[in-house]
Amino acid sequence: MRKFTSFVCGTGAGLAAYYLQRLRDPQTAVQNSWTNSDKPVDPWALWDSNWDCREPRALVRPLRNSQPEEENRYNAELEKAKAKKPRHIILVRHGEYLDAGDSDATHHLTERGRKQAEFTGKRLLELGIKWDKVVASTMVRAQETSDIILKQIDYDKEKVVNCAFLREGAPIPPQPPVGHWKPEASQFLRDGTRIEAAFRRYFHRAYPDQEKENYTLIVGHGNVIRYFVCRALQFPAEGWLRISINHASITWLTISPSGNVSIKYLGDSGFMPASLLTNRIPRDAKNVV
Amino acid sequence: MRYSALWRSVGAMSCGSLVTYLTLRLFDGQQSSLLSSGDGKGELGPVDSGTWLHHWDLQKPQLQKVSNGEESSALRHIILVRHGEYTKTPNGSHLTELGRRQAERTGRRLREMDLSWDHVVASTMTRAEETAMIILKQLNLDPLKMKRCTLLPEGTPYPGDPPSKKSPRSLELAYQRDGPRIEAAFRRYFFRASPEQEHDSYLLIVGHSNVIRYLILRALQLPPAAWTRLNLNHGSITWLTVWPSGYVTLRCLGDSGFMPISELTHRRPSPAKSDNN
Repeated sequence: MRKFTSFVCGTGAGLAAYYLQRLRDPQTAVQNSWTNSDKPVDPWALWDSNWDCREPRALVRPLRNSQPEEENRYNAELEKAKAKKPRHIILVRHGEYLDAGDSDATHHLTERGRKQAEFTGKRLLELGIKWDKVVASTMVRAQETSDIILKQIDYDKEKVVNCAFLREGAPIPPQPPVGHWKPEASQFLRDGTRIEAAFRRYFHRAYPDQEKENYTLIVGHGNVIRYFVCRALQFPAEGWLRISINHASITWLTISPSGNVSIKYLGDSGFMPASLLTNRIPRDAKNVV
Repeated sequence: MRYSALWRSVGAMSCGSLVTYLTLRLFDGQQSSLLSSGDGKGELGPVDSGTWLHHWDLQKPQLQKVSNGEESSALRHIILVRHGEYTKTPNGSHLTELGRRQAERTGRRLREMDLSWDHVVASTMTRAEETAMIILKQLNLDPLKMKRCTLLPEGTPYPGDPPSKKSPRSLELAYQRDGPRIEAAFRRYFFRASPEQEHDSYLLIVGHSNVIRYLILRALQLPPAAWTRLNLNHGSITWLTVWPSGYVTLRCLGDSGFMPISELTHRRPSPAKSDNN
């Protein structure tokens, strides 16, 4: 009799142990059925506020003790290191071009590409912005595009910065991989870090001494602009190929003083007649030479 | 004598518990392996950073054949338009004069693109319906063809990150209310073409800023919490393409270049706002 009771007790204990184990099982934790995660915000999606290493708290010597003088010193330095005004970065893709010949030197804009650049220049003029800085990639198609744009907007042509960091390349292997675009691993190795360096050169919050809103115009290339957008918004950079932008389209990013980044529009090309819209090298003429 | 009886009962107890525990574990293991072999393919597993989930839409009944290996050759284009500028008046919120002009310009631009629209869907909120009516007039489409969708009205689709200034409590409430509904809207409208579809299709959705921003990020499989990092002007056009392979690309976001600079707005006019508060 006593043996039987203890066996029943044992069964009960076994059941209890099983349920305890079950409760701790991560698979059976309750999840919202419509999201992919049990947490409202996926940890990998969290915003890193010190992405440009210019967060005031990261720039200032930390509090040594809790003396009032020390706290005053800390707060004063914190206030001094704070950015006050936003920075706007306007990215323009070059116009349509032909990849005739083997080197970049012969990759000129097409007639349509020149028209596209003119429309973009006109639109940029209408925006009525006082440009603080104009940067262009050193590749011929970007140079030609920026020349056409500079004829329209109010900016001294001598002051344009030509930046080799912005040249077209393969930033990072895209996810998902696509069939028709498969650069060698060595290309990613060479271009990836260079394009990342370009990102770090142009994308950061305003310096504390900047007193007005700052506008930077960058004339560049499709891959580089798409990579910049993903990096600036802290999307997984592998996703850059999920975006496609038209020739000579405008993309507008704003970096607020707090370091938050937002995008106003991406690939805006509504100012061009619909018949002029293109986003790749004209197919019938590809590699004509 | 007494001690040996005690030991015996302890032995029996531990035997019993061990047997029960092991049986249940074994049974549980079998069950879960059965389950996973059943629908493992189309399951929405946790998305890791950056990797693309290929079977994101295959649970749709019309895509049954795709999961069996057939593939369509047609694209699905989904064009999302935000409503025009509006204000709140004593008899409901309506488009402003400027909002109507914006909608007209959007309609004209869509006509200029010269696409053959298969479906036009609008949110049931007044500002979206009014915008859709103006656009349909420009497109020369029958207003009766327009569908009204109750999944599309404005809401809080997801807790935004970086966080907004709203109180966490009210945000949580709004998310609990709207989150599943807006996700349902995503699942209703976003999927690859079924093998029966022969021509590229064009779907026009007239909706609201938060909803559109969430739809974009979900479709591109980017973190949905990032929707607050995007902005959309009134009447702007966003164009997404779903390829037969299930791959999704964004052609433009918030395209509003067809409007003169002076007509660009993205929030309610401020004097009207202060009237309200």
